[in-house]
Amino acid sequence: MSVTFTQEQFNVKALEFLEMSEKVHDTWQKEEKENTLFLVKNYKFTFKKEPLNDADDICAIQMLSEVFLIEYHVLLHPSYKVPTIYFNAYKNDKLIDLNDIKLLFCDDYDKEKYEIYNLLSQSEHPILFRPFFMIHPCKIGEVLGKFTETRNFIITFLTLYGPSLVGLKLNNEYEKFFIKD
Amino acid sequence: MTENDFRNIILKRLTERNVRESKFEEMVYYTHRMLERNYELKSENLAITLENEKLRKGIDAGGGIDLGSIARIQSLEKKLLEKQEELMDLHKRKSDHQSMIIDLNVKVSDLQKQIEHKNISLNEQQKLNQMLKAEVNLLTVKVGKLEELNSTLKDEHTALHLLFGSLEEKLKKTQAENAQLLERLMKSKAKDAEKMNEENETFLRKKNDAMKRELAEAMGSDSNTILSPPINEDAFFHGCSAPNVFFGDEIPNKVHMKFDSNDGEVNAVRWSPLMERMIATGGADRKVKLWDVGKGNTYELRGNLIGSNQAVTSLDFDSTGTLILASSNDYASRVWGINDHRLRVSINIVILSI
Amino acid sequence: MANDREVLKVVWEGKIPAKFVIDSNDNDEVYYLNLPRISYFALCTDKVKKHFQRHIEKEDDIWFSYMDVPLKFHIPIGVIYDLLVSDNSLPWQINVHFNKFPEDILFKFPNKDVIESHFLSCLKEADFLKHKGQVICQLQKKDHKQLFLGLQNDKFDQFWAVNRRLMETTEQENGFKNLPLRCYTDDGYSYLQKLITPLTEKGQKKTLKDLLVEFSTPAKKPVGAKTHGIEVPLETELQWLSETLSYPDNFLHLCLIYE
Repeated sequence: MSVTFTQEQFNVKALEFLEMSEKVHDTWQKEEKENTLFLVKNYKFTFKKEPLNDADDICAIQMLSEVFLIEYHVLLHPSYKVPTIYFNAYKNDKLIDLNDIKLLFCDDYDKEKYEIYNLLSQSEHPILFRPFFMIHPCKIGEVLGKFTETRNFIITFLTLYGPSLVGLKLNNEYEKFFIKD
Repeated sequence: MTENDFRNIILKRLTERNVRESKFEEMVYYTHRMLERNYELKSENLAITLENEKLRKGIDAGGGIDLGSIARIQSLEKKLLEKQEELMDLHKRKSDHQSMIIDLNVKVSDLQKQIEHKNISLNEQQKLNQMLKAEVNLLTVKVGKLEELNSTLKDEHTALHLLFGSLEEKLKKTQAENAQLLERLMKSKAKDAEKMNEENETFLRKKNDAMKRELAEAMGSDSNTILSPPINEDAFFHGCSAPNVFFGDEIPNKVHMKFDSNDGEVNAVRWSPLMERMIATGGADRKVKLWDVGKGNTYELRGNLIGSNQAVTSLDFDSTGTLILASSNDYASRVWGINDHRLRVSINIVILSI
Repeated sequence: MANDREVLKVVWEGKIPAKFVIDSNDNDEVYYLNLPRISYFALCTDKVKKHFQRHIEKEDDIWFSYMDVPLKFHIPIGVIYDLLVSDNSLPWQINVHFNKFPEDILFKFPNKDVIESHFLSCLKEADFLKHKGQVICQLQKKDHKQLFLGLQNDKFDQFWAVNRRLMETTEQENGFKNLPLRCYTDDGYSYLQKLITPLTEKGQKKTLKDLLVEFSTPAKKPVGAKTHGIEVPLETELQWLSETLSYPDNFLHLCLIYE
C-alpha cells in the first residue's frame, strides 16, 4: 500500500525533526517559502580514499586534497506527495556532474551497487527552480507504506535512503528519541 | 458555454497563431537552402582549390597518382554523404510506413469484427427460420385434423336434425290423438254425469213419493188436517217440533274445506254465536286465531290473539259473542275482546308442589 | 478521451520562427530556424550547432538566452516563448553563447538520452497524478521509445498511437484523478504546482475560471491563462483542456495573466 502525505503533515514532522536535530547537535535548518517548509543541511568534508587500482589512481589523488560540499534538501514532492531528497555537490565551489557524484558515494567500485544510482536523476527544484539532483520519488510511497507505525516518517525516510544512496549520515544519537519507555 | 463553443474558440485562436507564426516559414526555408548551397559551393570551392594545388604540385612533382587518389577520395566522400542522406530518408519512410501499418491493422480488426457480427446474426436468422418451418408443419397437421372433426360433427348434426324433425311430427300426432281422446272422455263423462243426475233425481223422487205416501197414510186418520204445502228439505231437518218423529241424520263424509289455521296442532275450535261465519281456533302455537269462512272455499284471517305462554287447549265464546275465553297449558286462562283483540283478563293458577 | 484530432494536429504543428544570433565581436552571424513549439531545445538545435561549429570549444557548453535570460533546456520551447516574449515579436531573437555557462540556473546541455529520461520522468509524474501510475506501467519499453521518437521526428500519428492511452479515462472514473499542470507566474520561471481535480466536490466539471480562483493568493489574482500562444477561454473545461492542450510531456503549462 502506497502512502502519501500532506504539506501540513510534513511541516509538523519537519519541525519535530528539527527539535531532535538541535538536541543531538546536528546541523539541519529549515527554510520556508510560501507555506512550504523544507529542511536544509550542508555537509562539508574532505575526501579520504585509498586508490584501489591504477585506473582511478589519478582521479583518487585528485580527489584526496579537495574540499567537498554537499547541500541536502528534504522536501515534499508536489506531485507524488512523498518526502524526497534534492542535493547538489560542489567541489571547490564548483558543481559536480552526475558521474562524479556516483563516484563520491560509492565506496567500492562495485558495478552492481553502481546501478542503484540510476535512481538519481537531475531535476528542477520545485521551490527554488534551480537544477538539483534528486532521488526519483516513484517507489518511495510503497517503501514508506511498510512503516506506517513510525512516530516521525521523515526520520524513517532519511534512515532508509540517506546513508545508502546519497551519503547522508545520520547521527546514531537520534535513536534515543525512539526507545520505548 | 458548451464544449463545442470553447473548443471552437480555441481552434480558431490556434489556427490564427499558426498563420501568424508561419509567415516566416518560407523565408527560413529559403535561407536554409541558401546556406546549404553556400556550404556546397564552399566545399566545391575547397575541393577545386585543392585539386588546383595538387595539379600545380603534380606539374611540379610530376605525380599524377596523388591527384587521382584525391579525386577518388573526394568522389567517395560525396557518395558517402549522398548515402547518408538516403539512409535518413529511408528511416523517415520506414516510420511513415510503420504508422500506416498501425492504421491498417486497426481497420482490419474493425472489419473482422463486423464480419463476425454479421455471421452471428446470419446463424441466428437461419435457426429462427427452421423453427418457424417446424411450427408451420405442426399447425397444418392440426388444421387437417380439426377439419375432419368439423365435417364429422356436421354430419352428426344433420342426422340429429332429421331425427328431431321426425320426432316432432310424432309428438304432434300423439298430441292430436290425445286431444281427441280427452274430448271423447269428457263427452262420455258428461253423459255419465247426466245419467247419474237423472238417476239421483228419479231416486229422490221415488223416495219423496214414498215418504209422502207414508205420511199420507200416517195422517190418513186425521184427514181433516190441512196438508201442508210441499216441504223444503232443509227446513224439515232444522226446526221440526213434532215429538214422535225420528229422522235420519246426515253424517258428513265429505270435506268441504280444509286450511291450516295454526302452526302445529289445533286443539280447539269454536263457532262464534254472534257473527256469521266466524270461527276461533287455538293450538300449539300459543295463539288464538279468528277466521272468517266465506261461502265456497274462502277463508280469511280476522285476528290474532296473543298472550298465552304455552299451547291453547280450549276455547269458548261468551253468549254475546264479544269476548272469548281460552285455557292454556301454562296454568292460565285468558279473556280477549273479539272486536279489539285486546287481552282483558288473565287468570294464573299457581300450583304448589305437593 | 483526447479524440479531437483536429485540435491536436493544430497544436502539434505550431512552429516559432527563431533567429539565432551569435554574440561574438567580429561577425553578426545569423541562423534562422523554425522551432516546433512542443519540442525541446536540445532536440532541435543540431543544425544551429553545426552552423556555428567553428565557435564551439566544448560542445557541452552551448547555451541560449533571450534578453539576458538563459533559456532552460527541459521546458518545452513554446512555454519559454510564451513566458519570456511578452510582446509576441517574431522572429524570436535568441542569443547563442559558448562560454560562461550558468551552472546555477541551467542544467548542463543535455544529450538526447538525458532529454529522453527527463521526458519519461515527466510522463511518469503526469500519469501518477492522472491514474496513480497504473497506465504507464502497462506500457512497454518500446512504447516509451515510440513516444520519444514520435516527438523527436515530428511523427504525430506515431506519438498519439501510444499517447492516447495515457489520455484515457475508464468509465468508472469521471475524468483524471488529478490534473498534471504547472501555472507559471509572471516573475521568470517560477511556477505553482498544486493537486487539482477536474471535478468539484459536487461532481460538476471545473472550468478555467475555477482553476484561476484556486491559484489566487490575497496578493495576486490571475485573470486569465495562456498556453500554446493563445489565451484560453475561461469556460473551458479542465478535463478537456488536460486531454487536448497538454504538451507531449502530458503536462499543461499555463502562463497566468495578472491584471
